[in-house]
Amino acid sequence: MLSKIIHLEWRNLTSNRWLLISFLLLAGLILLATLNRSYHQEAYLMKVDEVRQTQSAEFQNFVADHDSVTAGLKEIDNQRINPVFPFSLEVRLTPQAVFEPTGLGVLAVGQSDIHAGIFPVRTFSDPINKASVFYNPTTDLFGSFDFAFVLVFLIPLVVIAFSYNILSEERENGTLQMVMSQPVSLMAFLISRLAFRFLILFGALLVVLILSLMVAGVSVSGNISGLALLSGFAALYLLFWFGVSLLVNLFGKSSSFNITALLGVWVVFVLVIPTLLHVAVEKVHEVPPRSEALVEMRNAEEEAMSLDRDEILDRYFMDHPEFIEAAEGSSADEQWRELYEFYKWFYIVRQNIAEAVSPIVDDYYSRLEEQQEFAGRISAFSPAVVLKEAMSSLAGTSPAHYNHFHTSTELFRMEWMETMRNKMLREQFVILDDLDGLPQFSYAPKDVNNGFARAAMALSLHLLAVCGFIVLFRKKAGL
Amino acid sequence: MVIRIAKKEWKEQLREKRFLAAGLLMVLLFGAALISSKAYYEKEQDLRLHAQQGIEENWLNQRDKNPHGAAHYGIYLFKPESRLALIDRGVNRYAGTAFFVEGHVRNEAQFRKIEDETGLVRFGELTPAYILITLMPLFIILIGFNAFTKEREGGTWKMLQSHNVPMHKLLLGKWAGVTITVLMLLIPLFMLMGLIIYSVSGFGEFSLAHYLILGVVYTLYYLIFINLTLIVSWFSKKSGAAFITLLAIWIVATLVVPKLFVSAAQYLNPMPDTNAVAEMYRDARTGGIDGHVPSSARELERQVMEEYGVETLEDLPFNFAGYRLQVGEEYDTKAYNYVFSHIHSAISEQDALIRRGSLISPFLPVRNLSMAMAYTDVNNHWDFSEAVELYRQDFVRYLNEDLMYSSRTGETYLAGSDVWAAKPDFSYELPGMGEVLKAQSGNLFLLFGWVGISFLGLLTIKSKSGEG
Repeated sequence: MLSKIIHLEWRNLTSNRWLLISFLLLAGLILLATLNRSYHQEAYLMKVDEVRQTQSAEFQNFVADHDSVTAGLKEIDNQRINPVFPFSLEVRLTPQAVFEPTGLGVLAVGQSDIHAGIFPVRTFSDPINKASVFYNPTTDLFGSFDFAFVLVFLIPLVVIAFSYNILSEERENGTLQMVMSQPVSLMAFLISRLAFRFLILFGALLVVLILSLMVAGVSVSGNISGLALLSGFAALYLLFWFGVSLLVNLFGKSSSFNITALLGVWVVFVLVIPTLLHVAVEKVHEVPPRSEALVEMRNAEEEAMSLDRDEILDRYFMDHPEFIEAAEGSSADEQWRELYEFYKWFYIVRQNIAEAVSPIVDDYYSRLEEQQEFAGRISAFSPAVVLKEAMSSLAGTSPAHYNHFHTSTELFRMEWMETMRNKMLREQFVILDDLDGLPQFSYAPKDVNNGFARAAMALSLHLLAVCGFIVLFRKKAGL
Repeated sequence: MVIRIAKKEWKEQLREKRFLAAGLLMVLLFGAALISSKAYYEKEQDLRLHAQQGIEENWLNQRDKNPHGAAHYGIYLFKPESRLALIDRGVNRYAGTAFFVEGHVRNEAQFRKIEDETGLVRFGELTPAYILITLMPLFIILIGFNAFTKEREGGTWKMLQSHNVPMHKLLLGKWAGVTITVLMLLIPLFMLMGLIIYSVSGFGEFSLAHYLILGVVYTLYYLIFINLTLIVSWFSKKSGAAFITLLAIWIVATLVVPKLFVSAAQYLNPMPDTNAVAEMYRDARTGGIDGHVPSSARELERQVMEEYGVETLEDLPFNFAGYRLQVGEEYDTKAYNYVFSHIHSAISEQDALIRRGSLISPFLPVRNLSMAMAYTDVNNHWDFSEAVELYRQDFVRYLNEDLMYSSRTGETYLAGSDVWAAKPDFSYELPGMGEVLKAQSGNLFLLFGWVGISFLGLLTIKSKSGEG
């Protein structure tokens, strides 16, 4: 019997011209979305490469200059860029913070169109200005076309178009009686039909996705665990929509009622709930505006700069006598000493400013994290939001990833600042052997496994809820 | 006859529970959007005023210093939101709000709200415009998709024909029925929104004419969807098919086309990246005088001394360092004008390409018009940015000239609070309605084109039915 149903289904599906056309269209859109993002990702990686090449060229120049200066072959007037003087590290060997998306970065644009992924980090970089690139706000408003959009927004509509009349059609065509007379329960008949359609759609989706990834040059075997997770999420999401469709069919209304009701559910879950959740997040977990932090930072800067220079140095050395001793062993002559004195003051002031503003900066980033955490929890209200967030986590482009990147950058800046300050306070010259010991920025993508478990749970709960309603209404409908 | 059909159509819509439910949902969402938009607007305005005041205090309380040092310390200007932003926030979340005004450098606006957002906002922002532009067409589709198919399915089609009901009257009746429902929903909501915007204290005058034009734009947009819905309903055999077709049209118009054209624009006309911009600046800035490098201004020194008939810079009646800084500043400004005109034209090219999507989607011209009328589009952002740049030039000139005229070359001069207090004031006025409409003539043309074509479509139905 089952094989007969499947056989019939297959013939039904293949004879439906519109369905085939929309299938092909969808496949085209998925390919386009993947290629679109892979173009952007490649452009980004090329830029990273370019910056790294410039860096290594600068490094070689630096070493060559250093050699010439120490050998007495070259004189440099501007000591700020003299490779033997530590400040030159700040301007000539400026470290770069580089954000790295995961191997599946092409799946979801996430926040990668908003944030700069690569920027220089210096002692005097602004800790809250996130170094935006030059941007066009209109393109950011409408957003880029990615696979996440196709899966979250469009696929449910395909599911609906695929199943809205699964029962009502039989009734309207007058074939319901015929189905009822078969030795299989109506429920089993409906479920096997839907299951078949689910498998076809899901299978096709996976095949198209994998082919698109291959065309885009993304390694499939290298991202197998990520893809497995994604297929799991997608399967749960599709099943949820098939379930909703079955549920609406059980009400026993006309096809035209079913489709409008299903569309209503889609609008609520995909368009309405997310906007309401956004309002809730803004209300409940407000992030302190950066403009306030800015005012505080400027105050701190003025305050630190307005103190008497000698007073600042005296106060600092009272607390840190070890540096007086260290500086005594320095080989710097009188002229260098003067320069070092200035930069000692400069870096101590920078440290004072950093200490004064760090509570504000920390507060800002931790509140952002709390907000993202809260948004993650309440996103469980809509499977669409859950899936979209899970996909940007898989792609490594989620807001949490960028928050982690920015806080890592800030930590690195502190480390770099300390290294530079110590060199100045000890009146050390730059030695080539030291260069390897300089702090290096390294970005380890945020561990988001926690989020995946939560996403899987939320999606399963939605599916379970729909199944529960189906069981409930099945009795009511007498099936 | 027409009135009777319209009445019947209208009554049927009221009787249907799902239409009532959908209408109610629209009203509730609109209410929620209005309330949250108002709260957001007022909060943002408070924050902005507070921050601007803080920056002003920073500036006034700064220690005595060389006025050019103060130009480096600079100030920030925060972009105000027009009160119509309450309807349509446009690109405001995506464009920076804080402009750092300093010597030598023209900065891109910082602190984009979107940088501090969760992923939720990418689903759409609950504003009145979101309801009116994105969701309202769905409501129209819902009440109109079966206008003709239900007559076919219910068997009343034949009855109508046997009663010799002229098809154009039937069409007009159906059209009027749907249009009246839409207007009955729109007009009270629009009036309520007007009252709220009027009551909010905000930036920019509330002009009734301006607001009404916005209302007309939305109404024309709805007419397009009403016409499309009736056309599709006419040509469909089944209600389900009509609905799916209309849904597909809606999705393509509001969700798919904007994203596709954005992607095409980013691909075909990419924005210059920071390195390219830096290079552009370097090229534009090479040669010329660097205000901080005396050796770059030897020729200028000679000329000025000759002009004043003096032997040394110290003999000049002003501080040459201030003059040099100002001359250097003008070179900087020129280079930045060049760079920013490039960035601006890159944005314009992208936007022009996205506008081509308007040929497939009536959503795009309306979205663009709505943002423009609310002063929340990218043009307004640039308008403000240009005003800030002109101010920046005044601000830096004021400080450099203070150094120039309050001291002589070689002297150490520290300016104090009186100098800080007398800095030029910044003021900005929104462009008038005429200017906005002129800039939007392309979008207006596209909107009228859509309205015209959709009505033509309806007419073809009529002529066809005349034959049958």
